[in-house]
Amino acid sequence: MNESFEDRSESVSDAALETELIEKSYLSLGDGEAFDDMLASWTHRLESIKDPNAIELETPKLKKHLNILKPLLEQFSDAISPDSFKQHIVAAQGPAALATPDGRVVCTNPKAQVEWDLWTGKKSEFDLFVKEASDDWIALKRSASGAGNRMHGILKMRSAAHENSFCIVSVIAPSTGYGRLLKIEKISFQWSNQMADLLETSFDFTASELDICQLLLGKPVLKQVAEVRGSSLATVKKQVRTIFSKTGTKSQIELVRLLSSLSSQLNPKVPEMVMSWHDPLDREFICNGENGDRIAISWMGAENGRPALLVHGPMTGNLLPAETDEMLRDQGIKLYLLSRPGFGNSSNSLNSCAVAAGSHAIGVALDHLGIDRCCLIGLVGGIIPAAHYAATNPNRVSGLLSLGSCFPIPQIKDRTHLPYHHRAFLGLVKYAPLVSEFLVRHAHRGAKYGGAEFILRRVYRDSEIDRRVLFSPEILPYSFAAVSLLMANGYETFLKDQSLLIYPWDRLLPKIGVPIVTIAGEKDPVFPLSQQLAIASQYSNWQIVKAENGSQTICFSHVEQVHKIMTEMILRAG
Amino acid sequence: MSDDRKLDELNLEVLSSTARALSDEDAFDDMVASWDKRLSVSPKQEKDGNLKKLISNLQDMMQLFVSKQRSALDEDISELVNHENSPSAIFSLSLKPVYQNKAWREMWTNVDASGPTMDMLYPDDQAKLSKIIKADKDSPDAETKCLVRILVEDEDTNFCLVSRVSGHSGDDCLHFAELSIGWSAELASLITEAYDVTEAECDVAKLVMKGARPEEIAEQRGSSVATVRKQIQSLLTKCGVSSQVELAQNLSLVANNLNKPSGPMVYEWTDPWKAEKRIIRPGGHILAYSEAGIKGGIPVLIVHGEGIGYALPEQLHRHAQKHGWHLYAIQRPGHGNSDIAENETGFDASCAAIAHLCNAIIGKAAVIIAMHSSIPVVLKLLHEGTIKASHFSALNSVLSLHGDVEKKLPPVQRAWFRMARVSRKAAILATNAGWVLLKKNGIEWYLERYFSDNPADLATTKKTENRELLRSAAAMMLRQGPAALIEDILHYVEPAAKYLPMSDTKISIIFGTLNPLFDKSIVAALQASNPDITVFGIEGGGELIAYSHTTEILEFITKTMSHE
Repeated sequence: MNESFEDRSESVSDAALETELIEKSYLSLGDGEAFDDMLASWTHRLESIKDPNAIELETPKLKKHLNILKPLLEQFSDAISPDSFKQHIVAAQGPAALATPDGRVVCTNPKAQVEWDLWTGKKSEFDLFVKEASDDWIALKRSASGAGNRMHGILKMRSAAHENSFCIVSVIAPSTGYGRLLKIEKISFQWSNQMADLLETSFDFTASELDICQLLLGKPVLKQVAEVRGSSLATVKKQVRTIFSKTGTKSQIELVRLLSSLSSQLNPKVPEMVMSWHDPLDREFICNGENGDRIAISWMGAENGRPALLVHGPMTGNLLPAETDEMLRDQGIKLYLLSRPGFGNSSNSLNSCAVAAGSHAIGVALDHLGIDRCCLIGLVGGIIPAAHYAATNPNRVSGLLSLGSCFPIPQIKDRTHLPYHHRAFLGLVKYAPLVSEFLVRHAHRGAKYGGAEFILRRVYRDSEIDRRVLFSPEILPYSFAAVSLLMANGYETFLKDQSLLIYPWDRLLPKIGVPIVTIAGEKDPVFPLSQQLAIASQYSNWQIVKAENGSQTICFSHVEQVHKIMTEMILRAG
Repeated sequence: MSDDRKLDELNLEVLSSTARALSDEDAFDDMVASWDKRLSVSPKQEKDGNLKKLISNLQDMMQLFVSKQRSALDEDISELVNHENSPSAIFSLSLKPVYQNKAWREMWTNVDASGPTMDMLYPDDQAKLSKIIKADKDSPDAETKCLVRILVEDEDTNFCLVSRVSGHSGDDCLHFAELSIGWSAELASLITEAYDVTEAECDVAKLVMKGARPEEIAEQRGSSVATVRKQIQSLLTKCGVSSQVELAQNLSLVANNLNKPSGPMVYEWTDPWKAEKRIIRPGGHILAYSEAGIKGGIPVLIVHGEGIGYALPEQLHRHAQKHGWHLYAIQRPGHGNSDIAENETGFDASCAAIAHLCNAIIGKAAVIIAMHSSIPVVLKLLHEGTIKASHFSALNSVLSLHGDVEKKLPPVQRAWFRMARVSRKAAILATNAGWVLLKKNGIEWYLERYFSDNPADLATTKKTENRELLRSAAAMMLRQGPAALIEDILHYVEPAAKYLPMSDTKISIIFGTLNPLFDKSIVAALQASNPDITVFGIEGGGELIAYSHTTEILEFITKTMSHE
């Protein structure tokens, strides 16, 4: 009697929790805050269950609502995160970019990628302006680094002589507390076929009159028009007078204003942002595996240096800071940067799990590069596929270095220390794949429309240290590049990588004979130092080096310490 | 299933259907149905924590509504004009105004002339425009854009880019965009900082951009031509350009860059009588009304109901001329261009506005013709003696919607009425979802839903001569957002029947016999309550009798008046 009563009360509370979950899921369509509430509800739900294997998490009711919710995700894509770094760039009609004071690109729009060859993470001199504007540029850069108060400039561009084009350069603080950035936006009037057609039919223009209009729109100087057209100034003046009478304008100013306004009316569409990955170092090459899969690799350091391979984690990106690049060059090391399957320009191997696919990609890369044996460096979770490769190919790895703590957490009981949203994601991937997919698509949408910071803020929400590092102006371009690398192939990559962290790689550790070194952040909330030490102490070859006051982003925050250990490990090898 | 769980389920249905309703019109009906179901379960809402939770959940979703609204708007033709800072307007193919933005209206100082008529165009351009209007829209090479020049009140020539765009329900419209890139305070502040120009130079730059010659600039600024030339020279140096033409173009470039979409969107509405006056009513809010007919004649005040009623067919104006009526039409607060205070209920604001118009403007006992939701307001004012009327005609009111009457309401209206009574917030939220669809699908969509159970009225809405008027009437209501509509629905909560017995006002109640809310028992009860009440049933009329039976109604009112 008593028992059955208990059962019922539990089922009622289950139902209530489920209702709450569904409610929160609907609300989460609206904004990022509600997304976090939904994750909290899921953690709550998962924790109320004693044995997740014995319970049906995805009830028919839940499934029904998930099916309603999924298509809504795309429809309400514009409902998220109105204040985003990206907004500053998206709103621009011409090429636009956001850069750090030292010229590293945080984000760009498609036009800037084509016209200025600028990509997230790339360092650029921004050699776009005429000589006279360079003082302005320097003053603005100085303001952006906090040493001036010049906030706006209109800088003349060093483009072709027959076009008047300018950049509005503004110093902006896209988010409080994270320093200032430079927004560079080109402004010019665009001539289009539509505009030509319209002028022709409306005013009965001849071909040369149209040509003159186009030239005037570019730069309203008659002498130049004459020069470009190879005719005399008098002829052009006569033609312009005909244009006046055909249009009913009385002066050049009026005519130029008509052309300008028409051009601005006809070009109101802002181009769509596309998700793509472009190696900011411009060194990427592709190697093909046996099964036709493509693995993208770039590199840092010395061109003919001693090789080593970097394997990135789910959120880390595959770039190390510019100082590390220099250090590697000085030390004669060539560090290959792998894009794991599904990331960046590497194809997604659908049939294998993230760990096996990553490990396979390491093999493909080493074969392609002709490296017999080298040191593998993992960025946080990147150490897991590296460990898998080292365990299955013991003679090809000279050592494992993990930048940032990472240890096996396959069971729910191993994850009690994790921040709740990590727990929710990692718990659901195993027990409720449909829900997991929904959450991942949700997060992907958040990043796609709300900007990289939507993801960064959530992943690192419990680590003030990491957020400070990732959002500092110097590191911001790398942070954005990391998200681009993850997002480039759609949400599937993100979904698949969820299984990486819960992979039981403790099984692999006894099979690894080479030294393993982990530089562990002292204040890492995801992989706490004390637990990392306890686990490593079970293996004689696993050494932990403490990064004081560090967390997960030590490759950016503890550059010197990283350099020292990295060179030691790579150069000692072989 | 326990009651709580049942309510939880119903709440989920509401939440889910509301989310879907934002993009799917079929789900809109589901939303109404789920609300109806939810509110039938628990009539004692005050103590219902469960409902509070639902409302708070829906409110959290508001964020979503607001952003979604913006994107649904992108497809709306009114967006073409609302987004623009420079003058922009939509006209029907017969050159009747549909939407105009503020800048467009400001372009015409004469209120009557707010649109291009053919004779305002250059002769060459008339042909161009006709070509666009007559173009076969199905033909792939049909021209859909042209440039025309409009002569605005003897001033400069204005270039307009005219585009033929598809409007709602298959009608094409003409979008006029005046081609000018304007000066703004923002532009001034940007160039002041970026080019380090002085205030005087900034002023000169503004005039150069407009195309003024140095002589004109000197005259306008009251300085010498030499000074102006010096200022222009300094501007050219600072901006790095070599001529005034280049300077004007560069400033246009920067201005164009600053010309970003502005503030929250509102439905644009202009008085179809083209005779709007705006005054300030006590409390400092704008009260807008229009006058027509014979100045100094018999004052006749028309008070509109929820949405339908301000525009009214042409017969009204002819009738007013013939019978010497001086027509007044009020825009009740929250509708059209009349403001409502944040802390005012729609009912109180309407009372205050009507009282002010009657006493301060009309100044004597008028014939009052009130429709639908405004009837309880006028009755209360008359009952309390705040205003005097020589005659009061109520068009189609059931006075209040309690008890049996509420049950008879069509489901859509019933759900809304219940929601509004239970919680203004919930009703506004649900209206928001409808609002999004309305903006997407046009006013016809709204009218079709509203009158879905009423074939007589549906037919009235479909008549071409009524469409423009109904569109204007609905736009007047929608201009100030969903809250105004809810306030109006709440007028029916007022116990209006209590105000009916009045000693010194003759009352006639006019209704359509096909209006499902009027049955014999209600009519009999009305007549019994006061011997001064005349009841007139219009055979075959529904709710929209003001449109479908205008002449009959006006003649009836005139006849009743002459008897007195």
